[in-house]
Amino acid sequence: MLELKSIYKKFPTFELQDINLDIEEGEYFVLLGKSGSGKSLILELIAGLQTPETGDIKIHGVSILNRTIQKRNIGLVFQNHSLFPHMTVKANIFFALKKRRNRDSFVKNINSVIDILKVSHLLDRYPATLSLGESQRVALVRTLVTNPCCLLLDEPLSSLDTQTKTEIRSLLRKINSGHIYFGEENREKLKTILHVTHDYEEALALSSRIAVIENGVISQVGKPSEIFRHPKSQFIAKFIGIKNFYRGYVKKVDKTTSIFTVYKNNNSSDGLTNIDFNISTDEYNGDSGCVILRSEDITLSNTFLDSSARNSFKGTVTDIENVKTGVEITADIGGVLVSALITETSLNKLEIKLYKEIHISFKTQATHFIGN
Amino acid sequence: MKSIKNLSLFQTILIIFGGLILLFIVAPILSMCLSSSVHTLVKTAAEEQVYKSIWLTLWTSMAATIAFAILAVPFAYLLARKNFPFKRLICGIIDVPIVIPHSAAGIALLGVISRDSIAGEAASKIGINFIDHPIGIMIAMAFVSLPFLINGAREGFESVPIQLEKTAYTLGASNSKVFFTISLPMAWRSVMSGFVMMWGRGLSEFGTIVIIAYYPMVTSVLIYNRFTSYGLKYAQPVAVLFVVACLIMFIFFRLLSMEKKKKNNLVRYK
Repeated sequence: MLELKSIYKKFPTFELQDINLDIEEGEYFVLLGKSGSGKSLILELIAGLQTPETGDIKIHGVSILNRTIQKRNIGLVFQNHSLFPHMTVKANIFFALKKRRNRDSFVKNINSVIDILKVSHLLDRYPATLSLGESQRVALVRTLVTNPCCLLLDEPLSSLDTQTKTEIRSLLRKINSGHIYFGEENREKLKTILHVTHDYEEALALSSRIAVIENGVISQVGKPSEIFRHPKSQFIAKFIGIKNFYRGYVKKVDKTTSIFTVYKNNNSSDGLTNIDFNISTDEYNGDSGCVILRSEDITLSNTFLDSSARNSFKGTVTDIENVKTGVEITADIGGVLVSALITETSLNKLEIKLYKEIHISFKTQATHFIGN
Repeated sequence: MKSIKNLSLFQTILIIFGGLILLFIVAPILSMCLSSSVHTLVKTAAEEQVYKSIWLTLWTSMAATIAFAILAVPFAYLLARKNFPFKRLICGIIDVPIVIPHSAAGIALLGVISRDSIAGEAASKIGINFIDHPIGIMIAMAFVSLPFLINGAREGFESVPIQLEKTAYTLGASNSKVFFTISLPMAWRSVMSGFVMMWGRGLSEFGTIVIIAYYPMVTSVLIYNRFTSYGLKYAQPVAVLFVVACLIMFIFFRLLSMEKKKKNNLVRYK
């Protein structure tokens, strides 16, 4: 229902190039990118606060470029919530209320959203006295009461503590699924949400589809699982936190095997190391490219492991780091670093220590080659 | 707050400088106020020429400020929000009345509003004569004091976060609704401050008014008139009364804006 076609816009320090998005009705769509990649600007373009130099923006197939901001009926919540500081919470929420014939039922609908989002005890307060979570909820109520055709959220969770993040995430899901709605006629009606963030986990948790934006260009669009399993570019892989990526040179050996030799310092001009990975790829031969490995797919052992894994290397432990999901061990296998994710139990059982010798292994199928 | 004992040498020097400056301001005024006896002051205050002059000065400066504020405040909003060609030049032009010699300003205005000019002729057809008339006084006052209101209001509007206005637009508010419900209320303190500055500047004007409208005499002209005709002693009481009247007005305005500030703080941090 929301389409961006070939949007181009130049900013003083920045350029949005050939942005194409096609968001369906009721989708929870996440725009994922680093800070400064232009994602917030895309929201402003959709809302009408900026105009593109070329390209079109359509809602339900109709171009909205010539519509004023006020007439686009799009809800936008900025990262800092932008509550009007000189007005009470109640005045903020009722700001959009205009003279209308069915004012009473409108007010009743506003009051029910106020109750559902649990802000009724805040009505007489001023925005400066609210916590971030409360302020976020008020901002959401204020926008929902305009019954926008879609909701644009700029980093809605970024400044919140973990517990509040969970609460608001749940609220956002309910808004998308129609369990929080404005007016009885909108009960259970899906609400399209375009959510902009730099946090991959947020994207994974909430979205039905993700678009990754890098330096003003959309580099990949797809379901979260696609993006995670098959990132289309080195940038995306790095961005979603894959630590093991290597640049190198691939050569096909026989029908099923290709050998990937890692470049020194991951730089083609520095020459090849003598580290060869057995990788699975059919399409490339004699090409440069990049291989990524998920940390979970690396097996560690104290001695050489005779197994089905075609890739086996001896190395030295260079780093041991506690992460959310376990322990990350980094090993140097000869000028090339590999990170493996294991449990703390395994760490203790194998008695892994810094600078100790370690064997790493992984299957050919665990490698993912990305061509240039 | 540091106690006197803990002041550094630097801070002590700053305090001495401050004292000297305060002395510079207060001493002449204080000595002038003490120069006339209470009896003289009361007698002077009772003179029709004096109290009428003070009243004239107060109401013309207030009226001029209000009338031009209606035009100037929206203009200041435009200056704060929009970029257009020659904007820097226009901002420079706005500041000209501050630096131009006041008598020169009077001569310039005379050329435009005297009976020989286009504006003057048109006005006299409907019975208005700018010269030697309160309207002429108001024009003279406004000319030299407008920059204070425009700049104050502009800075006030510039300090309103533009994202708030953007949010208001997305909530369906028209440009004028945003101006009246978001921009102006949030810039109010600066606008009011600019307003009071403009009023005060108009109150104190002499050189421009003397050329356009010597009569009816505003108080600055009356003081000068008495001084040149009869000497210092005759002019002092009028000056004292006027200074006192102005002080009362300004303290009153300060209290008003402090009250509002206190109220806001109470409500905000409840």
